[in-house]
Amino acid sequence: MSRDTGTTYWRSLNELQGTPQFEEMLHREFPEAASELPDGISRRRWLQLMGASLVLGGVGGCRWEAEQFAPFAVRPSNRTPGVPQRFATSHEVGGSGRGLLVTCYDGRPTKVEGNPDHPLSEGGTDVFDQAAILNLYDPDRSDSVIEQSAGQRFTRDWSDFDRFASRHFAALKRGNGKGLFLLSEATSSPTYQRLLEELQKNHPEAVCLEYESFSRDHERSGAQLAFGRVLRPHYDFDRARVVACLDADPLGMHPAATRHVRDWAAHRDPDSGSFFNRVYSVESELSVTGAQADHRLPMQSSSIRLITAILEALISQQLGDFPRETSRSESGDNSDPRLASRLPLSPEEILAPGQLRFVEALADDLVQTRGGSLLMAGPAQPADVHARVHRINDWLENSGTTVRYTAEPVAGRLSHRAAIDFLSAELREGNVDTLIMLGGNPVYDAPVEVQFGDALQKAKTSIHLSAYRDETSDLCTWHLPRAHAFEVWGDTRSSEGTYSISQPLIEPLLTGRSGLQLLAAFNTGNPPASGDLGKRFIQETFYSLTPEPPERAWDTTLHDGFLAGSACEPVNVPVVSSLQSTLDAISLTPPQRSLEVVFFSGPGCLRRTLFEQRLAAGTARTAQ
Amino acid sequence: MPSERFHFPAWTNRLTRLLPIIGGAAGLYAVTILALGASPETTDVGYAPQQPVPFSHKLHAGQLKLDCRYCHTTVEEAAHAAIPPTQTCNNCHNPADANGSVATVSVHPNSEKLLPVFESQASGAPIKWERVHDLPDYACFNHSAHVTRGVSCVSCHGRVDQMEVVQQVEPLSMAWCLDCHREPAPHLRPLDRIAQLDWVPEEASEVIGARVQEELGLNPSTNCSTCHR
Repeated sequence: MSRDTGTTYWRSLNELQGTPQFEEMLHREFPEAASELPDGISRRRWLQLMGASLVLGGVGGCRWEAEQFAPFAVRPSNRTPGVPQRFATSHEVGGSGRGLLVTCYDGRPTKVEGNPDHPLSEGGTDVFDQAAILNLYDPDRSDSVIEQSAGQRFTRDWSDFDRFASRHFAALKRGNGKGLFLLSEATSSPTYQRLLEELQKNHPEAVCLEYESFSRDHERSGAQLAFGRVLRPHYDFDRARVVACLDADPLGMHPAATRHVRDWAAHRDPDSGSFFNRVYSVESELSVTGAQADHRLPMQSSSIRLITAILEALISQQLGDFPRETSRSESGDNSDPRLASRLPLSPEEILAPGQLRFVEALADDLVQTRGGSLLMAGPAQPADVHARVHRINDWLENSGTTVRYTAEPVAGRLSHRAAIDFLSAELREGNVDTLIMLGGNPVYDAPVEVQFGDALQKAKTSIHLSAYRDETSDLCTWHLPRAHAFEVWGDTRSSEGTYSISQPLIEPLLTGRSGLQLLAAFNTGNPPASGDLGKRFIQETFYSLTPEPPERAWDTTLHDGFLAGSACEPVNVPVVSSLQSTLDAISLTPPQRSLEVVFFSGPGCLRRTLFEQRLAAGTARTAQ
Repeated sequence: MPSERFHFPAWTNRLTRLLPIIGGAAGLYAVTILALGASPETTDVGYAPQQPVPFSHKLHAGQLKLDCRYCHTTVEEAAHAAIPPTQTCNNCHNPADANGSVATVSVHPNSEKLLPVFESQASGAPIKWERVHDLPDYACFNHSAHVTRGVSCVSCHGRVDQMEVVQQVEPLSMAWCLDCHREPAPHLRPLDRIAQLDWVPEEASEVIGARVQEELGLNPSTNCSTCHR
């Protein structure tokens, strides 16, 4: 399609390249075999067969099957046959727990809803929580242990693996675990952490890593820059009058989205008597938040850094004298503390007039409502943007009101990207004797330059626990089927730290085991007995968490679905003075008029493949 | 190979005059067979499958006067009147051990007829009872909605307390359901007589039924969606 402007538009990559498939598609009215019958069968024969099928289809109804009752030998307490029961439990999406209330009909889970008492859910769920039930009954889930040796695959069962594992891990233990690497998905499970420490104790030289393709690691390193330690920000939409989202989607793809949505919606009701909030969104995709925003500015993901800097300059100007943090710094060489001077060009030169008006209005609004405004950056944004945002929130006196920080439970781990780089380097050097992968599919979703698939084959033994037989399973020595969260015991922490137990609602349908069971078996050398779904490990962790009489607290927690008051305490940490020099070192490039590739996850209908594939939460890497 | 075409002999022409009569008779036959032969009255009433345990309702409910709800506990609170778990049987029937002694008081600890019950108790596997009253899946019947509104067990299940082997006595057809939904009074009784199968009303059942209907404010629906949901 050419217009006078000379710009050529295209609607698919095939069209752009002019492939033969596209040419054929262009000249066919219908796809192949849609308008004419495929070869090999005549129309007459077709009608005969279809007619006969139609007639015989009715015959199936001509019978009255004798039915049987199979009542329990011992009916479980509180169970009335035919009356649905609801159980509070939890599951994890991308390393953060969700409080759920699952309806079971005669012992079969049928529907997932949010736990109305859970502080984060309040009865709300997102698409991934709802889809968990479909995942449970997915016929494509892996149902067998598979061993691959000498290029051939053998279907084994768990006892074969247990025999192999007890031999193999005893040998590893003798070598202090040298060459043992463990790669897991992001998980918030305290029991997992405990078992991991135990593994580390048994195998002092073992290396435990975590990898998640869509991770919130930039958030972590942003806090590290701004506060000198890893903190996790929490947003309070109940107090936020003005919300500015920089490539962030707090109402859609955020571990606490259900909570955000409720609080946000409560302040969208003109009759509520409370204030009415206003949402600004500057983003590169159309997110849920962007779609609900009062003001939305489409912007290249890579330009968000610049927008943040301009916003910071405008706000510091508006706040008049030196912002608090800068005045505290003792660097002394800041003769001109005006941040506007640090921009490569003046805002007028960088932004179009409409964009500038938007940013100025936003800065205005944020300053007007300071103490009740909220600025946030998305997980795809680099660490320095997060750090800048933290500092602006600090200037605006939002820290402690609309945004609170809690300590990360596991502060000292490698970032996900560094972990996968490190692991593939170790693999290539032949340092990996045994690689255990608990969940995840790194062959598919690790960055392409890592070439993880090639590296993986250098491991002498690789064990992959996965709900599906996927790309990674195909390259591993052992593939083990993973149990669904509704089939085994587990525990989780939601993003603000609330501890939840996840209880089995049905026996494992496809003989799967959980990562916890596997880890415990590696530690003790004893495979789980039949019917043992890992309750003991969860209880041991739980008893260490609660000061109350443990038995009673366990029952209460199991019933309620979460341990009340277990959320992390907010911490108050000042912004470090070295942040300014860190930010100075980062060059701010004006927006480029070029194409940009953004990998992101979101509840859009066509773009969920990566996310669904892993059921992992989070974010994106940005490449230009 | 060319074959000679078949011709009907000439005498068959006379039969064509009989066609209306034959047609009429065939029609009558078909209607009779369909109406009577396929009616639930013919196909379902009297259905008495053999159960894995020869449990006698006549003995337990009739002679021993166990209340229906001793075993069918959920009938007042749920749609489904649950078949009791094996545990309920074990309240009275426990097997003797190898020495012939029984830990608790037990009726017939050595009975061979009770063997499936003892096996189920030991293994935890269910006893597979045959279903006698089987409504189609598109008809939703709720026990609790009926027994808490004055409809006795006997109205649908008959005198189970006189049955050695449980059998279906009512057709459980839609027309039969609607008869009662349209004219409930004769079939209603005070709530404390619900499970008393041999209850004889002191006065005319219509009068008592009308009083119960009045007291409980009953107005049974005949809307399709009441049962076909």
